Amino acid sequence: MKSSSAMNELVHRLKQGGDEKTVGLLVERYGPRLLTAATLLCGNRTDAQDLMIETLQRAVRAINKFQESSSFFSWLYGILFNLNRMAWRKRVRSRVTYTDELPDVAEDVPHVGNGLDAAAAADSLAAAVRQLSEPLQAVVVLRYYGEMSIAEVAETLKISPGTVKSRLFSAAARLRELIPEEMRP
Amino acid sequence: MTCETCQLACYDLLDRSLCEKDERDVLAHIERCPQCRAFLEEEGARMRTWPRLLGIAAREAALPPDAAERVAHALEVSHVKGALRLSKGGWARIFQRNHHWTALASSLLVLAGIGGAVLWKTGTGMTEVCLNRTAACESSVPAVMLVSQKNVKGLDLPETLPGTLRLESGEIVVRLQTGVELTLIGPADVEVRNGLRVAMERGRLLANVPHWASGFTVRTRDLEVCDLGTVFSVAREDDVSDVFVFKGRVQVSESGCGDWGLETTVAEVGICQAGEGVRAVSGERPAKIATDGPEAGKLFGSVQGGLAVRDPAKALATATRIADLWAERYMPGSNLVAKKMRIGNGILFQNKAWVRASVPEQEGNNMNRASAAAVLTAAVMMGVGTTGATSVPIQIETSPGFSRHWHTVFTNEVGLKWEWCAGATHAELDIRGMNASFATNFAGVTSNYLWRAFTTSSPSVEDVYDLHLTFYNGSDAVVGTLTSRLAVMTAAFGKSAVIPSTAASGWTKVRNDVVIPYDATWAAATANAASSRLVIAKVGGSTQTNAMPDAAGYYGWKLKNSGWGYGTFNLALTFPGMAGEWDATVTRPVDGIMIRVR
Repeated sequence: MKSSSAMNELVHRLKQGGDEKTVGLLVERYGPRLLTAATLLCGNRTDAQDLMIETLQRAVRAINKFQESSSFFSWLYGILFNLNRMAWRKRVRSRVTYTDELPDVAEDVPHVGNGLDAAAAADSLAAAVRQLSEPLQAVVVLRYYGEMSIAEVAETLKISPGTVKSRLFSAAARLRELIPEEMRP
Repeated sequence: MTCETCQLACYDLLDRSLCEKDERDVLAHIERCPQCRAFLEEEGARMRTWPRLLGIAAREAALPPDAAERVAHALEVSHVKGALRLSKGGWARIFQRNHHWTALASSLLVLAGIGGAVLWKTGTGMTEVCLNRTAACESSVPAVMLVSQKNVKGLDLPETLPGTLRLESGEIVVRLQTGVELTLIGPADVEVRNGLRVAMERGRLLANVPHWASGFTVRTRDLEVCDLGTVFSVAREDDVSDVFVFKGRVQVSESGCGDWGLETTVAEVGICQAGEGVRAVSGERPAKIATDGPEAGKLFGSVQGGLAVRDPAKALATATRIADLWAERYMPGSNLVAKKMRIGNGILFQNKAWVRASVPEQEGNNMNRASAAAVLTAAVMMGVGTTGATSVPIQIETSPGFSRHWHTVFTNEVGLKWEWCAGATHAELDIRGMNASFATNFAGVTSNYLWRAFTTSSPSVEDVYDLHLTFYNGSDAVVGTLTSRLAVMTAAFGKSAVIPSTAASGWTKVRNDVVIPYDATWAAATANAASSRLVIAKVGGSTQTNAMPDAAGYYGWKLKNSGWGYGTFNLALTFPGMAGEWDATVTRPVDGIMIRVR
């Protein structure tokens, strides 16, 4: 399922009503990447899995709305961030405290780069990203995890490129405060 | 331009989406503004490092085992919605459905706004939904999913992790739950510990790691490779570990020397970029290698980036060859060279001689050790660029009394075939040309080999290759050798027969290094000659005399990077003991590589 033709075939099959095999392929192909983004946003495994599952469920239900001229991944990301936005608003209102935090750093994660513990740096960065407001989280995850261009982020989130840039700018300023100095780029 | 405007434009600058004028303005501002320059550098660093870090941060993310089943619930709802739409669309069509009565009832009830009836209605779809669930459960993502396989024998895939993946022979592609795709070429033993970590006892592996799985690690006895978002290969054979990067970067560390399973503290070897790698021989310090020199550069160009994923076997063979070239150049005589030269370089070979399907395999082509002459049989592709070309296995005999030891090939696929001499347990095939050379080893069961001399379907550069097949017994003593030679042509000579005339087109269309044909039978006066001599004299320069032990064949004149330089060359071809001389004048112009014969 690497090529766009494979993606088109998958979308076509879903539009035809889909079956368990098609859903299996959808999950296999797009699940891991969505789950990683969801984990970065949610910070706990259970919520991340739920967010990923719900994203794919919504995608299956709304598959006829997908325009095949655009990126399927961007469309899925768009659904994921919309769902996360709603969840985030609920969280802000209800002030839920999560206890299902990510596990401790695995012992066998190797050192990377200039001697800094990569896993510790990664966890620190992810924790800082989760402290951002949802709009800022979305642009940060898409830009730096999804490695999208400004135009792609704008298209995915249905906002203007200028808004993307100003949110990234704000996020960078906020993250500078949240990330320990020795771990800043 | 204000600093704020400039800094916002830095995002576009990094995306390369600014127009030329804006880019000039932004760069001019950055030139004189340290704050904006710092911002640009900071943002660049974020873009370089954060994708990997964010990938590592989510390293424990794992698909729930019931993910497919849960997503399949959406199908249920979709089907119900479909029924609703149908009910609105036309009653007649509803009655044509299998569950038309229940669908009709449910649609009517829903339309009437009776909420409780919805539950009853969906019950009609439950049979279908439950079936879906069962099937979806079965199709949940396995720990190690087999994506493709080729000529596979003895494959054992783990069902749970950690587990061991074993492959006796052949090539497979598997996908881990993290999306990491591994191409394995057997024999291979790989312990898959989780979606981001494997340990390879032996075998050859190409890893295609999506950026979200950065941090994926492969460990051998000698080395540990941590991916930084890339495509890389790891080979572990006969106490030698090789790592090579085709795209992106990896962090390579030295594994501890403890027993297998006891992974001791690691020491860094360094970060390898695309085109770099590490070679390690057990018990010695690993050496960082790099694509170095024109031959290696050319080889790397054929597999860099995504090209490696398209042909993993070739990519692995190329990586080995690049490491060989580096080791031969910078560490001659070390174990890094000597041991590796005995290792198969991974070029595909088959148990059956390669022939085009249109031509049945012919009998009597086997290399016959009993004959006085050493014979290599080549399935030779004729007719470059023609569709439906056929392969004709042709004997190539090296007997001086029968000068048909040469043959030309016009394809990148040459099937070689031989018989084993008595007492031989393994053999080494060494092929050396003007532009490239490589060696590969065979076990006693292999007597066919498909040699791909070029990456393209037809040769882009002409060359002359000497082939040496050396047989060894169990004590590594030489028990026999076979030799042959091949001229690889791009069609200049190949399409038309070699015409014994300096005016023939074959003599006027050569490029780069020159392949010069010679054949005593061109003239009746020299037809019985036993040997040939070619004298090349550069006008105002040196003279080179080449004595060939045969009367027909091809001489590979290495012009590029061999000190000949540019200029005019006088060529004289004679057959010792015979009257007559063929001569030609070749000019190599400074402004190009085209060589013309005057």
